Amino acid sequence: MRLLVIGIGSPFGEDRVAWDVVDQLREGMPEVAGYELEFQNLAHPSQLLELVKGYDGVIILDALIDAESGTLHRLTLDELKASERASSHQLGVAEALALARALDDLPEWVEIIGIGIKTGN
Amino acid sequence: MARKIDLNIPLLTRVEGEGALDLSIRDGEIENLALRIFEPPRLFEKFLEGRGYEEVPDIVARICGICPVAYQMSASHALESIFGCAPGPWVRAMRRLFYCGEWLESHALHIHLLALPDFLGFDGAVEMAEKYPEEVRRGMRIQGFGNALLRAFGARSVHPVGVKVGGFYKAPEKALMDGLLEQARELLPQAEALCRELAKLELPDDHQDFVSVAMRHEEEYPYNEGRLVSSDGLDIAIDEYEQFFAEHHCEHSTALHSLYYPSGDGREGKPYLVGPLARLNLNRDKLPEATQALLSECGIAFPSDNMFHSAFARAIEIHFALIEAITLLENYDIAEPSAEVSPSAGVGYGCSEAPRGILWHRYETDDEGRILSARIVPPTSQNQARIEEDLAASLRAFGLEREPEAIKLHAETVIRNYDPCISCATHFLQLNIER
Repeated sequence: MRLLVIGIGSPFGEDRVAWDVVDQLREGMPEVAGYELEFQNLAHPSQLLELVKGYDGVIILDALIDAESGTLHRLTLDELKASERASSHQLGVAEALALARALDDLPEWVEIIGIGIKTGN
Repeated sequence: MARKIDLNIPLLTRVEGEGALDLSIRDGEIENLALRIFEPPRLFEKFLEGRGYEEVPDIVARICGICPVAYQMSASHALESIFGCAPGPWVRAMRRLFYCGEWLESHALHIHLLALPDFLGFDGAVEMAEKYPEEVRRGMRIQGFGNALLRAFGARSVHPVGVKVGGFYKAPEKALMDGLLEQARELLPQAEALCRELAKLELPDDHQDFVSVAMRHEEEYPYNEGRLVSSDGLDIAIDEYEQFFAEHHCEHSTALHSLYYPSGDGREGKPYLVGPLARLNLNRDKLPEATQALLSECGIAFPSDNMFHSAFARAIEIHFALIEAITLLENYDIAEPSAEVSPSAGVGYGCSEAPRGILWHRYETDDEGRILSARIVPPTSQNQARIEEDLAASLRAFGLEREPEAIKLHAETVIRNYDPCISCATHFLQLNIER
């Protein structure tokens, strides 16, 4: 089973937490029989669209504001959609995933893990 | 009995950045119409003061995630004009190629994800993707190619970091460019198909009286160089801009409104149009032969005074940008990527054609090249008065007695024609209708 683990963030402050987690997983994740894992860090959710096709599952990690620092939160697509601030600058994670699903590129199995950070910065 | 309807679009969607529209209709007449840009002021001009000239391209790239190249190009040209630096033909050609990348990613995003859902009757790109997956994929392929061109020069597609005053930090590898050439050749027939499809869309037959303003260059479709021309006969050097165009603060907007003063005496200012439709209206004859032939075949006459032809103009520019990119990539060779710069004191101007229209910069430097003052006039603030004028005319033509939901959708469609980049302009949509 081919799984893609994606960290979304930016180089700045606590927004980089998912990148750091993905980097550590890439280095230290023990092999799991039957699973082939790939890791990728992204700065822009729109890049998800090009990447998710062809995998059996996608695990997305992203920083979560308004949650206790360091806590993990398993989110559904609907919860993710509700948590994203209405903005039109670019596709958000929820919108990018919805578009990938509409195009039939999104694997059935999608896990979204929010990692609590202290600030919204 | 007096009838008053208030309509409010609190947050405009499928535009870059945040703004709202307030509309009051009393007894079938528009009482108030304001495109309210409320994204906070960006203050970039002040951030630049006291900074070294070397920092400017990276700082101004931060103004916009969609059109950073435009900011980098206008700024580099302005500073080079002060320092007497002439980077030569390789840099000039590569700047055009870099700019092709930006037009392609910005135009493809706007047509496919932001504007097309309006014309095909969908709430958004996600709903449209279920019915028209190939069209959406095509848009994403063109956008992806544009981004790849930006990465070739800028290391990343958003806020690229490869530009310096004098040229680029690094010349891309030949093998990378050969790969991009192959991709561009594959995309060209898809761009042709896009133009043909958009030409067949049923659009409102809405003719309006407006002035188009764009750059014009003797030999080429404009990117970085040329004079400023208008559809009513203006033809000036870029350093004469301030005599004919002025920005004003409007209380309802954190973006400045620009007006055009045809007589150059600061009187009788009027709105004007910048961007793909204005560019094509003024530069059709400078398109490559293949694009001109395609345009003729599509049967939409230019100059056009129908703002709904903007999306088609954008598609034609995608075709142009691919042909231009192919030509430039076919001739690509690695060379010295920048010219030497010796800073000096002075005042310089830069103007280039951002995806949304002319982006004008003015800088004053001291003798070490530090920025004493900066002025940046983005395309969306130049279009803002035109958008309000268009909205008033379009909504009257559409019918002010219609249901608020229909008025709201029509208003949003009109605004999206301009592909407004609110984030750039704030130094944006909610619709508030009152009637």
